[in-house]
Amino acid sequence: MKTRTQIVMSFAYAAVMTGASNALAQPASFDKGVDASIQEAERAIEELNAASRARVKEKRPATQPTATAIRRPIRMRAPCNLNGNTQFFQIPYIGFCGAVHGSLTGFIGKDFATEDITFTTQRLPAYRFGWRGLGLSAAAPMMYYWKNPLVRNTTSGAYTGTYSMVNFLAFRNTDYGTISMFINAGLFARTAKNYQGETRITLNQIYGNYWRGALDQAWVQWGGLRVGLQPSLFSFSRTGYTFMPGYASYMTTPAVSYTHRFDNLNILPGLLPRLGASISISAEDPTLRRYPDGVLSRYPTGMGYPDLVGQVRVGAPAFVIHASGAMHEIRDVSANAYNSFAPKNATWGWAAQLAGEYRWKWSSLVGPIGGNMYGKAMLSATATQGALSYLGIPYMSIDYVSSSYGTIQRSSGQAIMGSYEHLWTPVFKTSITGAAFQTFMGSSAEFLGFGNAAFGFNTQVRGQRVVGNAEYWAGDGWALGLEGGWTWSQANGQYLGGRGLPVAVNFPNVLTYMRKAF
Amino acid sequence: MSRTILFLTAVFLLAGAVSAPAQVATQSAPFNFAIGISSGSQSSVDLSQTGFVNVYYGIQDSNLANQAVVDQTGVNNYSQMQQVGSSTGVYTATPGFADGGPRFGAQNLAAVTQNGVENSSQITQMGGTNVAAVAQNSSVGNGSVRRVQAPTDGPIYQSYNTPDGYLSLFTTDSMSLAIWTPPGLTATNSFGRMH
Repeated sequence: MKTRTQIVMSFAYAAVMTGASNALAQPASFDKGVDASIQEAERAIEELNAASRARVKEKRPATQPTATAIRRPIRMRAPCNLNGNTQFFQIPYIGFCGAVHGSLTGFIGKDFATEDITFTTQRLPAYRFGWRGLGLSAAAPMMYYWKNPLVRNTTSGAYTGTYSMVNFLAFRNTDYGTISMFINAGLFARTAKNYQGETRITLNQIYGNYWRGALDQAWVQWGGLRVGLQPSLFSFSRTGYTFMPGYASYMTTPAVSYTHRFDNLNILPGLLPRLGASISISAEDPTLRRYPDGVLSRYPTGMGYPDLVGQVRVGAPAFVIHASGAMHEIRDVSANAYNSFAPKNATWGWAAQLAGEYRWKWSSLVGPIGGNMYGKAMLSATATQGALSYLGIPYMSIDYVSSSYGTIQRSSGQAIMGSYEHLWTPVFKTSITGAAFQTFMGSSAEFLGFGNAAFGFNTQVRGQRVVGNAEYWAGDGWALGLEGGWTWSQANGQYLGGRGLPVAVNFPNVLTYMRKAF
Repeated sequence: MSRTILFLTAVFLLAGAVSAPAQVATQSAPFNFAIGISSGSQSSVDLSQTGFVNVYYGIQDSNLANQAVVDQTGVNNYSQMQQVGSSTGVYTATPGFADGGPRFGAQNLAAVTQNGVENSSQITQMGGTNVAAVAQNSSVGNGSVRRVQAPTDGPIYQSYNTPDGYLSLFTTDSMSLAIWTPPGLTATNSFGRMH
C-alpha cells in the first residue's frame, strides 16, 4: 500500500514531495519510456541544488563578496536525510550520500509489418572534371523509394528482450554548492531477425561498443555545471507516456551543460504558485545526431564542432513549458569522394522544439465525479533543417543531399507528438500517444551530360503513429503492461517535374511487458 | 519542346556497361524520358518509345563503335545524341588532360526514326566513320530486341547484378527510372526503418 500511495503522489505533484524548486525538473512519471528511477534521481538532484543554494544564500550577507565569503559547511539535519527521504545512505570516508535504484523489465512483442519502405540512394554517372581530366564518374544524386518485402523475414514470429537498469546517485554538499554524480547502466537487449529470418540476440551498441551501449548516463554535476553522458538538453522529458515512442527525440549524449535556475519568480503567485524558470546551454556530441546515407551525404570521421543546444523552461508544480534549439554542423565529404574536384563544403543545420506538460487531478476540474483520478498530457512540436535526428523519427530521412559539385541541400522536416495518461485508480492507468512527421529531401538539378535536361529529385516522407497502453501495478514494485500500436508511413517523389506514385505501408504491433522496480 | 521535358512523368535512363553489349529498352508510358550514357569497347543502344512525349538523350563514348537506334512514336519526339568514340583512329594530344584528352576515331552509327506531329533530332558524331540517318514522320519501326521491359503495374524497385553491370529499376504506374551502369561509375546505398 505504501508503494501505491507513492505512485499516486508522484503522479499528482512530485514537486510537493521534494520542494518547490523541482517544478522545473523532468515531469514526474512512473512509466518506463524513461525509467522512473532516473526521473526520481533527477528530482532529487534538483532538490539538492536548490536546497543547497537556498541555505548558502541565507547565510551570506548581502554585501559580502561571494569569493571571500566565510561560510560554514552545510549540514543536513541528519546524515543523508533529505527532507525526510531516507533512501540515501552514507558512503564511508568520502562524505557522500548515495542511493541505488533500478528496474528489471522483460517484454515480448509482435511486429506485424510484412513490408516497409526502403530508400535507395545512388549517384548517376555523368561527365565531370577530375584529376584525370574529363570523364564519367558517380555524380548526380538520385533517390528511389520502394516497398521492401524482405521485412517480413525480420518480423516473422515474436521478439523478446529486456530493458533493465541500475542507477546510482551520490551527492555531497559543500560551501560552493552540491557535488553530485549519477550513473545509469543496464542490459538493453532483444531478439531480432535478419533478412534470412535467422534469429539473433542483439545487445545495444553505440559506436560499435557494447560497453557504451550499456551505459545510459554517467555524469558529475557541480551546481549547475554538468559534465558527462547525460540527457540532451534539446529533449523534453520523454517520447510520450507509452512504452513505444512517439515522434520526439530523447537521447543521452556526451555533453557539457550549464543550467541557471530562477526559483520562485513570484509572478502572479495566486494563479501560478511557486513559478520558476531555468536557462541552459550545452555542447553535445554531434556524431550521435548525424543522419547520413554514405552516398548522397557523408560526414567525415571525427567530431568537428559540437552541437550547440539551448533550453528555456518555465514551470510550476502542475506544468512545465519547454523551448529548445540546436545548431548542428554539416560537413560533407561525399561529393569529393566520387569527384575529386568537388569541394568539401560545410554548413549548419538547426532544430527547434516547443513542448509542454500539464498535470491535474480530475476532481479539481469536474468535481466529485472525478473521484481519485489524475491526468497528465504532453505535447511537443519540432522543426528542423539539416538535423533530422532531432525529430525523433525512424531512419527514413537523411540530413542533406550533396550535389556532385559539393553544394549542400539541407533536408527539412517537422514532427508533432501528443500523449495523455489517465490514472483510473491508484494501481491502474492507461495512456495514448499520437504522433506525425513529414520530411523533405531533394537534390539540386544537375546536368548529366552536355546540354541535356537538368536531373534532380524531391522526396517527401510522411508518417503517423498511434499507441495505446494499459498498465497495472501488482504491488511491491511489480507492474504489468499491455500495449498496441499502429504505424503508417508514405514516401512520394518528384523527378524532373514529374510526380511519382506514393508508396505507403502500415502495420500494427503489440507488446506486453513486466517490470520490477527496486 | 524542351519545356515539355519539365512535365514528364515517365523517366527511363540507361548508362552503358564497359563491355557494352546491346542495351535495349522499350518505354510505353504516356511520357517517356531516356538518358543513355555508355563507354567501353563498344556501345549499342536500341530504344523504342511510344507515348505522347518521347525524349531521348544519349552519350556514347566507346572506343571502337557506337551504335544507336532510336524509335519514337508520339506527338512530340525529341532526340539528341553525342557519339564520341575514343582510343582508335586519330589521337589528339590535349594539354591538361592526364590521359591525353579526347581521341576521336571510332565508328559511329545513329539511326533515328520519329513518327509524330513535332519531331526534332540532333546528332553530334566525332568518330573516324560517322553514319547518321534520321527519318521523321515515318511509320518504319526499328525491330529492336526488348531486353528490358519496365513493368507498369505498380510501384516496384528491383536491382540486379548482371554481366553488363549494375541495373536498378524503379517503376510506378506513371513513371519509370532505370540505371544501368558499369561498376565504378556509380555508388549506391540503402536505408530505412529498422524492425
